This record gives sequence, C-alpha cells and structure tokens, in this order.
Amino acid sequence: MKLNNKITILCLIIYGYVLIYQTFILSHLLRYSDFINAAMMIILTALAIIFLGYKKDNPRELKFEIMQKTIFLVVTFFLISYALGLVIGFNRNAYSLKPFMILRNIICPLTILISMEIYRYVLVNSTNNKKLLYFGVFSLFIFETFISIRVSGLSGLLPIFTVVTTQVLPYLAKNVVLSILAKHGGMKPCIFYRILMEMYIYVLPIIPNFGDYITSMVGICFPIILYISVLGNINEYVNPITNMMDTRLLKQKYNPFDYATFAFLVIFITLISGLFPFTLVAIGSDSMSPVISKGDAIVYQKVVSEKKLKEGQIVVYKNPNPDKDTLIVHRLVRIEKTKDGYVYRTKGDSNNGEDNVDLTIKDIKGTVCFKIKYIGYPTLFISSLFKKK
Amino acid sequence: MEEKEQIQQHEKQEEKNKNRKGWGILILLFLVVAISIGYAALSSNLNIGGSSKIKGQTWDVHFENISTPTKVGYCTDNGTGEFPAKINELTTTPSDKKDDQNISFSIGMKQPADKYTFTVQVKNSGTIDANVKLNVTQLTTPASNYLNWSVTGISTSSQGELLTAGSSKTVTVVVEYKSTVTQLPTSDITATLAATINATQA
Repeated sequence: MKLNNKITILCLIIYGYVLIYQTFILSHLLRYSDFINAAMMIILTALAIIFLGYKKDNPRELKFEIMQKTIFLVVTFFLISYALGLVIGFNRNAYSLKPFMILRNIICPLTILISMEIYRYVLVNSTNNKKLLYFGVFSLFIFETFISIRVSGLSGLLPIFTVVTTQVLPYLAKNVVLSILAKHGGMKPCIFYRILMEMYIYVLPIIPNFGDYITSMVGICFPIILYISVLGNINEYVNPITNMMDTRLLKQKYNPFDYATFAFLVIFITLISGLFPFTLVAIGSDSMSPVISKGDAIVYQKVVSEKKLKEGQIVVYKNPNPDKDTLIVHRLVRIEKTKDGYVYRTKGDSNNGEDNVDLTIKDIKGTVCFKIKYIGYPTLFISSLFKKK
Repeated sequence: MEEKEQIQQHEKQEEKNKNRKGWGILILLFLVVAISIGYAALSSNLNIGGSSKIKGQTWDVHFENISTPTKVGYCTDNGTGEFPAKINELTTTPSDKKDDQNISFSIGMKQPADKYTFTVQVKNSGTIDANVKLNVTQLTTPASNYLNWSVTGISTSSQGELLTAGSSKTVTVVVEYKSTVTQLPTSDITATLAATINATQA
C-alpha cells in the first residue's frame, strides 16, 4: 500500500472514531470515555508505527537547542503564572491529591498524551508531502478537540465562543507548533512540553485563578511564542551559514519589532483582563459627551480607598441594581458623609439630572485615567450581536 | 560563482523565514485582539477573571432548589427570621461560588405531632464525579426526649455514595415533635440540629 493511502486511512480512522465518540460514547459510555480514548490512541500509534515505520531519534545539536528553549519557556511560564497568582488569587485544585487518586486521574490523560506525541513524531517524519502532513496534523487536532468537548451541549453563541477560545484555538496552535517541533526536534520536547503544561492540574494543590480570557490567551499565545523562539534555531540548521559566508552574512539577530509586539500583547491582555489595577472599558452611550463619546474606550484605575475620590472626577461604577449588570462611567458630583460612611452621587455630563442611585465605595470600581477614541466600537458591535441572540 | 549562488540561496531562504515569522506575529496579534473584543463584549462589567474551570473540568457540588417546608400542627418562626429554611452562601468571591454553603432554619414547635419537613437538592453541576457522605449529629437529652429528626437521601456509611457529574440527589429533612410524648417539658428546650454533607472526588 502506498504511503499516502496509509496516512489517509489513519486520518479517516481518527475522524470516524471522533464521530462515534460524540454520537455514542459520550451518551452511553461516559464513565469509560477516558479509558476508551487512551486505548484508541494506543491502537492508532501502534498502527502508525506498523504502517509508517519508526525512525529512531538521532541526537543532533538542534534537538538539544529546541529542548533547551522549550524547558526555559515552560519553566518561565510557571514562574510567571504562580507569581501572578499572588496578585489575582488561586483556586483550590478540583482533583483529589491522594497519591492513589493522582495516579488514577493521571493515567488516562498521560497515556493519551504520550501516545499522541509518538504518533505525531512517526507521522511528521514519514513523509515530506506537505498536504499529507497538514491532513495528518489536522486529524490529531480534531481528535484532541473533540474528545474534550461535547458538541451536543453547545447551544448559544456564548458557550460556542468560550469553547472556541479556550479549547479549539489553543489546541490548534499547540498541534501546529508541536508538529513543527516533532519534525525538527524529535518527540522529547513535545512530550516534555505537554506533560508540564497539562499534567500540573492533577498534582498541584493550587492553580492560579486566571479565568477563561487569560486561559485562552495563554493557550493561543504560548505555543506561538515557543514557535517564534525556536524558529531561529531551525533556520540556522536548515539554512546554515558556511564558514565562507558567515562574516558577510551576519545580520542583526534581534528585531526591535518583536519586542514591541510582545510588549503590546502583554499590555493589551493585561488591560482587557481586568485582573490588574488598570482596566480598559468600552463606552456604550453618549451620556458623558463631549468628554467621552459612545465608541470610545477608557482606561480606569481601580480604587480601593475613599480618600482617592474627589468631586469632579469621572468614575466607573457598577449599577447596584442586580437586574442591570453594567458598568457606568459618569462624573462624581457630590460626596456626602453619613454615619455608615460616604455616599456618592454621579451624573452624566450630558444628562439633565443626577443618577438615581446612592453609591458606596463598594460600588465604585475606579477612576478614569484617559480615553482612547473609537476603539470601543468593535466591542459594542459584537456585544449587540450577542444581545440579539 | 558557486559562493555567489550560495549567498543568493541563503538570502532567499532567510526572506522566506522572515515572512513566516511575520505571518506568525500577525496571526497572533489578530487572534489576541479579536478574542479580547469578544470577551469584552460578553462581559458587560468586564469581570472576566476568576473561574472555577480548569482545562474544561469543573468541580461544583452544591445545594439548590430548597422546597417550601410542609408543616403539620404548630410550627412557627422562632424569632430568628430563618423560617423557612434557606441556603446561605458562605463566600462572596466569584471564584468560590457555590463552594461553601450551609442551610439554616429555625422553628418553634408547641405540641406532639408537630412536624416540619423540607427537601433540598444536592447537585453535582461539575464534570467531576463526586463521592458524597452524610453525617447527621444525633440529638442529645433533653431534646432527644421530645424530638425526632432525620436527614435522608444520601448514604451515611463511611464509603458514601456516588454522585455522578450532572446528577443530583434529593435530601429530605424532617423535624418532628414525638407524637408519643405524654409529659410536656416545663420550659422551652432548644435543640441544635446539625448535619454535614462531605463531597470529595469519586
């Protein structure tokens, strides 16, 4: 049988299994789904080795460099995450941490992980046909995605958006990058990367409380950052500078654009996440025009103390009415001292009267630092689409 | 000539690689901005930090759907405002939502055969199976001479029982003034009734 046909058959087996998993296994054999997935992945890996052959890992300097960079980035990730956890808080681990339970929780995901990476290594090193490689890598992505979600349970734009951003896109980024790593660096960096990035949730007692947004950002950005960081090493190996050329072809290795991009991403994600002192908010009405108009975005600094609030400041507050779960950006017009503390009254600059709420310090989220014109429009547009649904 | 050709080839390859890197960065920027706009639009108060989700798995065992109590005879508010029974959230931070709860109630009973019953569901809304175990504190004298109380619906054995992800069990709480009592107490008796449901990963 031709190599193309073998790879195609393997991919079709994966697609067929995923279909059976979603339509039958999830509804009738849910309790055994982890074991079934692990068994399936072992069978697929065995078939891949039989059909495509297993080429032994040849030690190369490139593999060592890729492994080094992977270890460095993953360790850095953990240091930064747990340092951030000191600021944003931690969640208790949902899993039992008794040794037997850890083993029980880990056995199936670890089996799937290792089998997948062996399968990936065998696949990417069996052919140089790009279309076949894309098809094969895509099938791995489909497998990993569709054993992690229940398609029938996705109803509504919000759950679909959450699943796409926290699982589908991160799995896609990870599978593409790991396939490149497997081709040039062997399977060890891939296995190492996945064990550290996916198994820690079963063994550590506390997990940083990131939430869906940061989780999706990390899941998508981290593999791409890993790819960018090893790209230079891969290029040097694939396209080496010989002794005759190196003195003439030494170019600047570090591009300032890369650092600027990285800085922009960090600042942007930090502002949007709302987990840090400064937060970005889109403005949905003209109640504060002409100072702040609909479609603008403002950056506000979180307020923790009543001493920081003064009349005339533009503040961001949460509507105390539980039926109206919105943030409002208006000007502080009056501060009254009562026996229970301070009460704040606000008003939109273009409104006729004061807002009909008495606010306390708990309701006030922060004070506006500056505005950015127009960048809030995409958010307002998407928000209106969600509300229509 | 050969060296010139090599240099040209090398430069071509470098150009290709620069393009790849550029595309990688562009795709990354686009995804970050697009997803950020989506999340900002989803959350009207931008509270998009804090979640009990971990890689798609959630732990969420909690009380819900507490019923209106059924009363037989004389059962009234004991003056504490906790009649009928209600579910109390013990933490207010979003990350611990529904993690710590208790149910409180306070009733006054006057005569034999007075009875107060309510039900509450113990729901496993997470994706991790739970093992639940009920511990019921027995009444002590003198209250035990006059009252029966029971909490049923979940096993009290040391092994507990399984509460699979997505399922729930109904717990029934009954407090009863024993109908067999013939000699009434001479003064008010206060009884503290306590039961805990212990939930761990199955």
